[in-house]
Amino acid sequence: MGTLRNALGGICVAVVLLAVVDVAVRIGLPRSDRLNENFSATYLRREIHALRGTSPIVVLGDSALWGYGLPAQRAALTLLRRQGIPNENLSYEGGSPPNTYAMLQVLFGDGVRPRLVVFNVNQKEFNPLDSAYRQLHPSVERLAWSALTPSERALLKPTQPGGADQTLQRVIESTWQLYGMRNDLREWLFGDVDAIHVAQGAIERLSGTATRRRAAHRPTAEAFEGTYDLTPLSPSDVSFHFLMLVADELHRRGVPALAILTPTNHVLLHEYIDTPEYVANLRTSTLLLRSRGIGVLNLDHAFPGTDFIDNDHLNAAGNLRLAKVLRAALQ
Amino acid sequence: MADVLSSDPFFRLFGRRLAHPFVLGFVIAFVAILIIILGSSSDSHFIYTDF
Amino acid sequence: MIFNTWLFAVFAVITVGVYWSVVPSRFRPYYLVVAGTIFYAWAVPAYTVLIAALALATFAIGTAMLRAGDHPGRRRALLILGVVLICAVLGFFKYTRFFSATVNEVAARNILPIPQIVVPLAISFFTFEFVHVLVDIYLGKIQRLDALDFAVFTMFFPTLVAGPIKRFQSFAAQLRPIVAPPPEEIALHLYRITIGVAKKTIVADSMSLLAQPIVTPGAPYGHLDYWVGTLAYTAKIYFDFTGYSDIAIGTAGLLGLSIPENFERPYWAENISAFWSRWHISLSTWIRDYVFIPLGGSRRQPVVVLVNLLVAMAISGLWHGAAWTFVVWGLWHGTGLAVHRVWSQSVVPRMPALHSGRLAVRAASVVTTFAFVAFGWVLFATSSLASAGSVYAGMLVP
Repeated sequence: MGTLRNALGGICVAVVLLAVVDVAVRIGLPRSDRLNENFSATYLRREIHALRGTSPIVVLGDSALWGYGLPAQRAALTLLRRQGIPNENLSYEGGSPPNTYAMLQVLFGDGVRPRLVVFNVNQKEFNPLDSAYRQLHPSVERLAWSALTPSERALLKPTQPGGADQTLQRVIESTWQLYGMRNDLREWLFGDVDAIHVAQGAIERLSGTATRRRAAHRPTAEAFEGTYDLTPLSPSDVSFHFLMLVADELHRRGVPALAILTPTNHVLLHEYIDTPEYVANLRTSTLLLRSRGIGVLNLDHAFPGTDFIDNDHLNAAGNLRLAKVLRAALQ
Repeated sequence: MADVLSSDPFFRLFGRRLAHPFVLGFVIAFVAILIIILGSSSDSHFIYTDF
Repeated sequence: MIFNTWLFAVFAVITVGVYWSVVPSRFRPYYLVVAGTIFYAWAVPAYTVLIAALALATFAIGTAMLRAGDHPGRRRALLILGVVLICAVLGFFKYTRFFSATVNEVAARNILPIPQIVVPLAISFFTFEFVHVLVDIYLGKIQRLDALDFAVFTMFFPTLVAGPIKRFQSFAAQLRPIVAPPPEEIALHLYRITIGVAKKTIVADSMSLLAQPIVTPGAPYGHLDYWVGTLAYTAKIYFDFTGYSDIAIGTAGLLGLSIPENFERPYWAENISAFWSRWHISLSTWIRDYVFIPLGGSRRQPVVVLVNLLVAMAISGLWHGAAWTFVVWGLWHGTGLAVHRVWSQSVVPRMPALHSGRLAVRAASVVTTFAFVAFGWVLFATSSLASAGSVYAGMLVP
C-alpha cells in the first residue's frame, strides 16, 4: 500500500507539472502570421477554433500564397494585413484544390462563417504527378477525413498510415496539447521543426555547403519539364474535380469567394506553358469558377520574371506587388 | 545500478533522493518536456535493430 | 514494436502492471514467454515460427548433449550439429544476398541470382544466445537446461530485438523465484527508461541530421561537413545504442530481472582494448568467449594471436551487417587491437613516460582512441566502401 501511495504521489507530481506546461502552451503559444511549415492538426484546430464567432477573410491555398522562401513578415498576406486588410492566412506548402476543399469542410464543420474566402488555383496542381494532386496535408487530413464523403475519400490517397501505434499517437496528440503541438512549439522557439536544424544551418553556412546547395538548385527551365500537364481539364482529373467541389460548396453556402489564378513565371517556363492548351485550361478553370458566382483574379501572367524565386513562388518584391494587387482587389 | 548512473546529471544533482516519488515524478515530467521541445523527428528507428 | 513508440509504452505498462498485480509468482515465467511472443509476433508473425523452431532445435540438442554425459564424441558431434544449424539459418537469411552480390561483383557478371530475403528481426542476437547455450553446455558451464527457463531466456522481450546478449546461467538463476525489486530500484529503473528515451530522441535523432554528409556523401558537402558528420555519427551511434540499452535494462529491472550492462563510458577509454571492454560489452565478451578463445586466444604464438584478433573482429564486423564495409570496420578494429597489443607489450615497457599515468599521457591516449574509433564509424555509416572512401577523401584531402 505504501508503494502504491508513493507511486500515485509521483504520478500526481508528474501529471501536475505536465498539465501546467500544457495549459501554458495552450494559452501562451502565440498565433503566427501564417501556418507553420510543419503545422500540427492540434495547432490547426486551435487556429480554426479562434475564428469562430468572427467573420474573417480566410485565405486558402498553396505555398505561393503562403510565402514560400520568405519569412512570414514578408509574405504578401502579412503585408496585406499590415496595410489594413485583415485576413487569416490558412494556406500552406502542399495546398491544392483537394486541400482547399478539405479545409472548407473543417472551417464550415467548426461553425466558421468567413465573409470572404480567397483561394488560389495553380495549374501545376492539375498534374497527376504533383504531390498534392490527390493527397491532403497530414494535419488537414486528420481533421477533415471524417467530414469527407466515401466517394471523396476514395479519390484521395491517404497519407496517414494505419496501425495501432498511429491511432494511439493521434489520440494522445488530440488530448495532450503540448505533445500535439510539439512541431509548432519548436518552430516558435527555434524557427524550425527540429532544434538541431539551427546548428545544421550554421555548420552549412560555415562550410559553404549552403552556398553550394543554393547554386546547384538555381531554378532552370529543364528542372520544371513535366511539371505542368496540359491535358484539357475535365472532371476525370481528381484535382479539377475537387476544384468543382470547392466552387459548388461555396456557391451552395452563399459564401463570397475570390479565386486567384496563381502568378506563374512565364519567362522561366515559356517553352512549356506558353501554349494554347495552357490558355485553354486557364479559361476552363475561370469559366467553372465564374459559373458559381466566384470572382476570378487572373494573375497568371501578371508578374515579370524578376519577381519570382522559381516557377510560381514570388520573391520579396513579388510579394510586395502581390499585396498591392490584392489590396486593390479586396477594397 | 547506482554505479551506472553515477555520471548521470540528474543523479549527481539529486543523489539517491532521485528515487523519492515526488522527485522522480518531477524529473520524469521535466525530461518528458525536454524530449518534446528538443527531440528530433528525423529518424526514429534504432540502429542496432538492423542487426 | 520498437521501444520509442507509444504502443510499446502501453504494452510495457500493461505487461508490467499485470505481471506484478495479477499473475501468481509461479506463473510469471510463463507470462514472460507469452508477452515476448506477442512482442515479437507484432512485427512479423511468420518469423515467430522460425525463432520458436530454432529455439526448440537448440533446446533439443542441448538436452541431448546433457544426456550424452561422458560421451565426449557424441557431445562434440551434437555441438557441431547445433552450431552449424544455427549458423546455417543465420547465414541463409542474413548473408545469402551478400554472398551472391559479392560473387557477381568479382565475376563482373550475374552468375548468381540475388534473392529477396527478408531478414528476421533480431536474428543476429538470438542466434548468438543459442550458440552460447550450446557451447557452455559442451564446456560443462551449464549443467541443467530447463525448458521454461530456456523459453523465457529466448523470448524475453526487453532484450529480444537488440540485446544486450544475455548469458543463460546468470539469467536463469533469477527466475526461481522472480523477486520484486524494492521501490527505490523501481524508481531508478523508471528513471533509466526515461533517460534512454531522452538519449534517443534528443541526442541520437538530432545527430542523424548532422551525420547526413557521411551517410550520403558527395556534393554539396565540404571538408567541415565530413568532420562534423563523423563526430555527429560517433555521438549518434553511442546515444542510440545506450538509449536502447537503458530502456531494455530498465524494463527488465521493472520485471525483476537483471541483464548485463552494455556500455561503460567507452569514449573515455585510453586504448582500443579498453574501448572494447566498455563498448557493446555483451557482444565483445561473446566474441572473446566463443571466437577468440576457441581460436587459441592469447595463448598462441604472438603472430597467431594477432591474426586471431583480426579474425575475431572481422567476424564481429560481419555480424553487424552483411556488407564489406562492416568487415573492413571489423578489420580496422582488429588492426587497432593488434597494434595496441604490440605497443603495450613491446614499446610501453621500454618507455616509462608512457605508463607514468600522467594526465597529458592519459588525455592523449583518450583522444587518440576516440579519433581511431570515430574514423572507423565512417565505415559503419556508409553504404559502400566507395562512399567511405569519398568521406575519408573529403575529410583528409584539402
